[in-house]
Amino acid sequence: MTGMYRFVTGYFTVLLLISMAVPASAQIEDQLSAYTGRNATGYLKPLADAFGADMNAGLFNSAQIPKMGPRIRLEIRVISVIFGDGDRTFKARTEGDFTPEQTVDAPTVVGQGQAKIIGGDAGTSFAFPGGLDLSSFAIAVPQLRFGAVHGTEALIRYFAVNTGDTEIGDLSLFGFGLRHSISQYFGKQLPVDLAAGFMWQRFKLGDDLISANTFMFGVHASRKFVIMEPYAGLSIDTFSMDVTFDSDVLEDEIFLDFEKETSLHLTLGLNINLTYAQLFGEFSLAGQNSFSFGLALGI
Amino acid sequence: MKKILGNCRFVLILCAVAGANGCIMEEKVLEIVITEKTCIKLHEHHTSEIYSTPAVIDYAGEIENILEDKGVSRSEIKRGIVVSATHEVTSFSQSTNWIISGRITVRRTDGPDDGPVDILSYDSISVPAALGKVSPVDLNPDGVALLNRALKSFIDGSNPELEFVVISGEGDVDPDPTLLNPMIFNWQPCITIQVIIEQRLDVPDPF
Repeated sequence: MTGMYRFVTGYFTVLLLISMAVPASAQIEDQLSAYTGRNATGYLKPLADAFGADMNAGLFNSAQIPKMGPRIRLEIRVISVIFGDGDRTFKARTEGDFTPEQTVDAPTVVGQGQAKIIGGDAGTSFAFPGGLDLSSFAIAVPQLRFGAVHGTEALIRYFAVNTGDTEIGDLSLFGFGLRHSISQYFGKQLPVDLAAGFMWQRFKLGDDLISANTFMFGVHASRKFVIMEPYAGLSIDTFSMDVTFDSDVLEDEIFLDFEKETSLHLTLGLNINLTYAQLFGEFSLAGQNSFSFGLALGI
Repeated sequence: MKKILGNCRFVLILCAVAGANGCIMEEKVLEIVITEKTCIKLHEHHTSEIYSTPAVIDYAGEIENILEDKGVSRSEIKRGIVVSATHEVTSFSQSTNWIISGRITVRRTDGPDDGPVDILSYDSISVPAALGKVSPVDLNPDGVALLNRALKSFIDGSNPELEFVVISGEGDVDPDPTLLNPMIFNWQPCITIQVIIEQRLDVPDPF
């Protein structure tokens, strides 16, 4: 019983980790309020890219799917993007009636915390808000994998958190995917296990603050050597995001549409198979590179 | 079952690693920028082109209201700056196309001997054409410097009060207002300011 209690406690610790993004989200809305559309898009872009990369990673750790039989695994994934120097600034333009109009390198949401202040006509100045000075952006997601029917398994990602903040609202992620074994049709002819699949996910924070959608389809391969199982995957990822916030400058609501981005995604990872558990780590090369590690429990 | 429970310890270790505050959460110091306008509401009713219209602004009160709206306190302000200025005619119902020029001066009235100096000037504005239209105006460096000093003084704990005076001289209004045809309108010059707030926040930055 103690072990199960600890497991539940641990599971909720992970949910807590997810909800830790909420204070940062509130702060981001404050930071954005100084901007109108164009600057706001540039300011947020590194975080949007990182979020898309995180959501589309950590979806598999093996291509081996049994033809028939029970498979049920509860997985916990930590997925992270490390930001580079290029993510820390963007070309920002002065706003409102400030003269002369200027374009400068200003901090993005992950850039330096210090505001950038420039001089203008008649001793006026214009300030661009600082960022959160982030080195990385990580999410921890619980997911449930189950099957298998005719070499097909399903994956569900889900969490929902009541933030307790009426301005921010609730946070939720739901994702659903299917994978089908290709290698089952080739018997022993293939040197590796092969599977193909898709995954759709939707993330929402508040009624309108952030709404993001991802879709992935691709092929996965792996080969088991005793307990070690290297795996790889090639997929096409799409990510789109909408952000709505109140602007101080326009005294109105601003709607940002981060248009759908499509990128090729190569995953390389290693899975360690224990009796009722699996440990795995992987690196993803995509529009924004990421790494992931985690643990699966079950059969 | 023993094996499953044993494996649960891996989850605990992972969660402990992930959930340790020192590892996940980092305190960051960041500067937020709040942009707001302070407007001077003026009523003009003149029978001559030579006039002056004074208006006193509780500058400290205006900034306090802005901060209250944003939920921040005066002690959190790191710096305040003047960004730009605009004007807008807010009401006008006459048929005369008044063309006005002039300047607005500013001075501190809460104690310090600062001003009056010109803060902005305007040239050949058509009053009916400016109705409901927000237009930029040129600022004067001396006036901007005075406002910046007032902002600094506010941050340092004073409560600056400013007197703005609209000054119109000879040849500044066309046609000349008369007793039979007085010039009547309301307008509001607005000054855009930014206050930079320093805040400390724990954010997740695990790697």
